[in-house]
Amino acid sequence: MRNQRAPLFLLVPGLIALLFLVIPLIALILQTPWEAFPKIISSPQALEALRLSFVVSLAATALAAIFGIPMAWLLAREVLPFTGLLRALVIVPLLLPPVVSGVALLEGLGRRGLVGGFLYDTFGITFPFSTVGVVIATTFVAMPFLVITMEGGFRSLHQRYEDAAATLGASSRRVFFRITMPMVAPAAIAGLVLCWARALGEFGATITFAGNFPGVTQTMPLAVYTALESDRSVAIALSMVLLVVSVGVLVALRGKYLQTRAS
Amino acid sequence: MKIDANFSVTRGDFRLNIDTIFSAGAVTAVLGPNGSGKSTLLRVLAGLQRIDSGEIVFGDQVVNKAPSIHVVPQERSVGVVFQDYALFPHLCVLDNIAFGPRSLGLSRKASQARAQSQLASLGITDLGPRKPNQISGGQAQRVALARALATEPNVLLLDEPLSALDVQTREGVRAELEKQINGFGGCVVFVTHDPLDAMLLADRVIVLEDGSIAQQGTPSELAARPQTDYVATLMGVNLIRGVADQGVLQVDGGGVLSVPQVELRGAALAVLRPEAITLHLLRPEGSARNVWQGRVRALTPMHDRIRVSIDALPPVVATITHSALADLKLSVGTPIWVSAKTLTIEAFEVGAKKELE
Repeated sequence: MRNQRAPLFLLVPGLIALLFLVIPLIALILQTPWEAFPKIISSPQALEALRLSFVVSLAATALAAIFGIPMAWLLAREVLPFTGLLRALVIVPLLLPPVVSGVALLEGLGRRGLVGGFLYDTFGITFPFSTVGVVIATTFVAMPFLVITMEGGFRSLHQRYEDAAATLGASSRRVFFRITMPMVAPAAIAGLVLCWARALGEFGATITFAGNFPGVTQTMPLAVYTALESDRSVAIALSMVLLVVSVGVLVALRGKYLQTRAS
Repeated sequence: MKIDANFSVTRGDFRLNIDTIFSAGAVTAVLGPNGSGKSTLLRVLAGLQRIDSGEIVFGDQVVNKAPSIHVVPQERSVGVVFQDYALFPHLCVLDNIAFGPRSLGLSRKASQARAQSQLASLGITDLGPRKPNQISGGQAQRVALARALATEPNVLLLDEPLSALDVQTREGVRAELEKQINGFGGCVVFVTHDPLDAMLLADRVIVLEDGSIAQQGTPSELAARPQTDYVATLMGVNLIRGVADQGVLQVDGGGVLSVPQVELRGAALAVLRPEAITLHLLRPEGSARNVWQGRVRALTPMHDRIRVSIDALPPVVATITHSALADLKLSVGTPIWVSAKTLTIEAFEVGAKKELE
């Protein structure tokens, strides 16, 4: 704590903002039906949603890692033409309202979509309203978090380490896995966790592209939304689970990778 | 293995033009100011930078031939010590050194054994388990060298190997480096902006200025016959340009010098050592043929002497002792007489003996 007195014109609005952010969370904790909590989250529908959420968010994170990390590298090394434009395109899903992402996915990969139509007509493959559709929607929304974080990591890595490894006879594959990736590990961990947390909370794109079918496409956030219309205490209990996960992520990354730059 | 390099590289406005031979078993220093292209030259030899024209031959292997052939660094048998060393921060010292042998296909065990023996030969076995951020600059330099040598390369390239070190550690590390590169046996090329490193470590010096070779030769040739002002300044001598005829040099920009090389005719350079110049408050009457007047422009203390820059025709730098300075009571602007015996001056043709080897 610094030995400085805050002026009123900053103190008052600042404290209001703080209350505004904290009160709903406190209310959620206070309203949680702790006695019924075990029963609610062990109900078949809740367990189904939990399972689906974890499977989908991990699958989306894995896909983001397999495809997003190479893309981040391409952007960081500016090996493609129009890198600036490409980077902007990658960031768009980050800023787009998730519902719009869902609509865009329907137009792209839906049964009548640009690519989806071809896939359906030729192979009979269809994504919307399936678990695969949820993974696609979630990956679309969450991958940019990983790409942006990793691109920063790759960029801040000085070229000379990779050069040194190359002169020591390491193949480009070995350079990437033994030198580049270990050196950007902090960015990779931060990016993967952010990506996973975003995937876990995905709602808008999922419900638009994949619908809300229990056991197939109904993830935790969708289950919360559905429960809110029937049984409020179930909605609160499920929300509590997601809140605990979010706080867990924060604690896990605290100080380590999400540090604010001190002085 | 010798390196035959004749190429050019263009990067924006900058153009590097090289035509030289790095002899087998010789240590070549590439000396030049910042931006002269010396690091680019090293990157080209390492295969980290492509060339735009010409070719480079290692022994009898063509490693570059623009625009079609470019042998990647992995297949070049070069060891590189990078500026700031570029040790892999996530690997311990031993694994840093074992990285090369392992990359070349040796087993984990054999790589570690090779790394261990490299450490032993440099006398730093105890550093093995430490991370690069836990060792000193001088130790990092040794580790970087050990890592570069662990792949048993034919060519060793060093980019400013001593510039990251402070003055105290520098001398010890330089002596160690000298021992190592002399024992290496292959072709050594190192880049430096410090003439002292070049003089002490190299058999041959290439001076780069603005992307081309300004002069090349042995250290003593450079000191005796600098061809450019940059080289002369590096060597700490006065380089005077003019036109010679029958032992008289008409200096470009004014002034006349008597030089002992009476047979010399036409455009010439004269080297005048700062310690061969005598300063006088009154016009000297003596045997010195060269006597001219000027004013003190600047006084620069060195550790055992004073450098006196004199505005005159021609302008020169002289070195005097602290006691001489006290006797003459020199300060900036003091009118002064300069004298130099003819026999202390060496004049030679412009461009003479540019390449002696």
